[in-house]
Amino acid sequence: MTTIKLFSFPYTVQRTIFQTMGYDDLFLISLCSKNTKRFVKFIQKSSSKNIAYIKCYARFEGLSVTVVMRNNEFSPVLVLQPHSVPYFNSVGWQYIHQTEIAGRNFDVFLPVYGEFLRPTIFYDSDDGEEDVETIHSYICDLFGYDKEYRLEADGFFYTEAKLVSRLKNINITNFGFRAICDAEDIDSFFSASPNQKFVTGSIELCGELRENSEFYQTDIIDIYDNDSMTSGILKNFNGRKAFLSVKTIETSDITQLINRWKSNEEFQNLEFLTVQIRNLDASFDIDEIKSFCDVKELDPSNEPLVYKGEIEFFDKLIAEGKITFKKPVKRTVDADSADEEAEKKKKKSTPTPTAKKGLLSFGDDEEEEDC
Amino acid sequence: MSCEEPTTSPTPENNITVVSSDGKEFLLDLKLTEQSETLARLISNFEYDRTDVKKDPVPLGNITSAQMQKIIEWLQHHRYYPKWEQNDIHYSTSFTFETWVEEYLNIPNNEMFELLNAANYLNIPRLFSTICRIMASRITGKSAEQIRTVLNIKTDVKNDVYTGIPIQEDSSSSEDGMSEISLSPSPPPI
Repeated sequence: MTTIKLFSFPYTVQRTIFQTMGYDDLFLISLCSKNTKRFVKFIQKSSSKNIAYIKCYARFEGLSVTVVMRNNEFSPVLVLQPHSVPYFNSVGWQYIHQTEIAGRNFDVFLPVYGEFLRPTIFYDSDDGEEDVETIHSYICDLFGYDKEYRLEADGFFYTEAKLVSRLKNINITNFGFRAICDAEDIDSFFSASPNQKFVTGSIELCGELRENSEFYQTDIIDIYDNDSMTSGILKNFNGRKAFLSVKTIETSDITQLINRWKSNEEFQNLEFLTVQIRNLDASFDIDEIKSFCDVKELDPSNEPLVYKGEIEFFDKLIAEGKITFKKPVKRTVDADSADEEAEKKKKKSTPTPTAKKGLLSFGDDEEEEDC
Repeated sequence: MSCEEPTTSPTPENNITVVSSDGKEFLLDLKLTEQSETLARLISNFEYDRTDVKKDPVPLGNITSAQMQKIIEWLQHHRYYPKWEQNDIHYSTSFTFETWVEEYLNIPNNEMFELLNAANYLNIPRLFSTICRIMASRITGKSAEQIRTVLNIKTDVKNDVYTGIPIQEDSSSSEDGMSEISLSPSPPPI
């Protein structure tokens, strides 16, 4: 194998070569030594404006990491999968490379054919969360903590929620779990990645989230709930907007929310809340809500005031000249500035000596002629 | 990408002479020099595009006659190509080289490095980025260990877990040591 003396080239050459590579290759190069990692980080900083966000996709007990660029192209970085001897036998052990990542040893497989040739890293099933956390932290360090990281979890198994429970620096999450998740894992995930911008998706919990769960600090939530989260959200949500789709809802949850919101006791950040009830048979006692929340109904015979006609009336008066607007009058406090203006006018009216032709002169000739 | 090449008869007025480091003279059409930002700027500064200006030979002390020959071949081929867009250089998932380019750059590594340096010196962006892409393609698709071998990098990894054999440590991997990688934009080593 011929060697390439890449690092003896000028920086411009090195940078251009690195910029033409995919992020999977940059990731692998970063693993070669501390210096190469530092160099890849340096390159990332200079070309970071091309990256829109970094997407982590949890599915089938695995996690894939992809860089999505601003031009909507995407570059896969890596795939994480559970350690599997039968899989190793099928692909061939000679293609499995032992590689150290952030102080831990991982088996890495480099596919030689397929649609997306990205390195596959195998995690130990016993230490899945820890391994996934290590790799994700490495990725965050490599691409920078200032980037937007999104998690999409589309799991069929309970393990996916556990797998992502320690991921840090996630800004936007899209849950699509088909299995019931342990509330503790979800709590743990939001503790690791608090104050998220947006959380969406469907989720069914076993147990309840803590009252002070960081999930409730999310700015905007759009949740398709199966009666496991709604009550908690209506009690503890501290974000700006919540869009909920629920099976059923307790009347007491609505009344306590309205009363606390009205009294400005809680939900100070809340701007918008919508709860859609999917189950058509489900109902709640509207009279009970009215009485508990002190809701007063307007008399339908009293027509509310309409302002439309008044606006038209005033527009007509202005058009007819019946309403006029006075020019602003100079106040006494403006006297100083008025004096200055007068002085300026005086200066303008006094003739200025004209410059001799043939000598160097500055300014506008036309102005001089006017004077 | 392919372009039809209309036949033009070169006249002495629209040529300049460049001299390679080994003293060989090359007659270059001014149209060709437009692809090299260095030469184009030089011609513009000395007004060599005017017919009434005497054109002295331009010495290119960093480029050998063999490299110059190769570069002229590139310039001739891309004579009527549209101007190179700088943003074409960034990563693209679907990038292929045309057959002519593959044949043109089917040369040993050391020759390619020299050509890369020459392209960098003369600032021919299309040639420069093409060689960079070719070089990147020679590094990509390899494991960390294979990349270490290709780029001649010493590792920080303590030992191979399978064999237990200690791997030579990277002596230059201290926090401030960057001996392997130069971050300063220095001129190309000739």
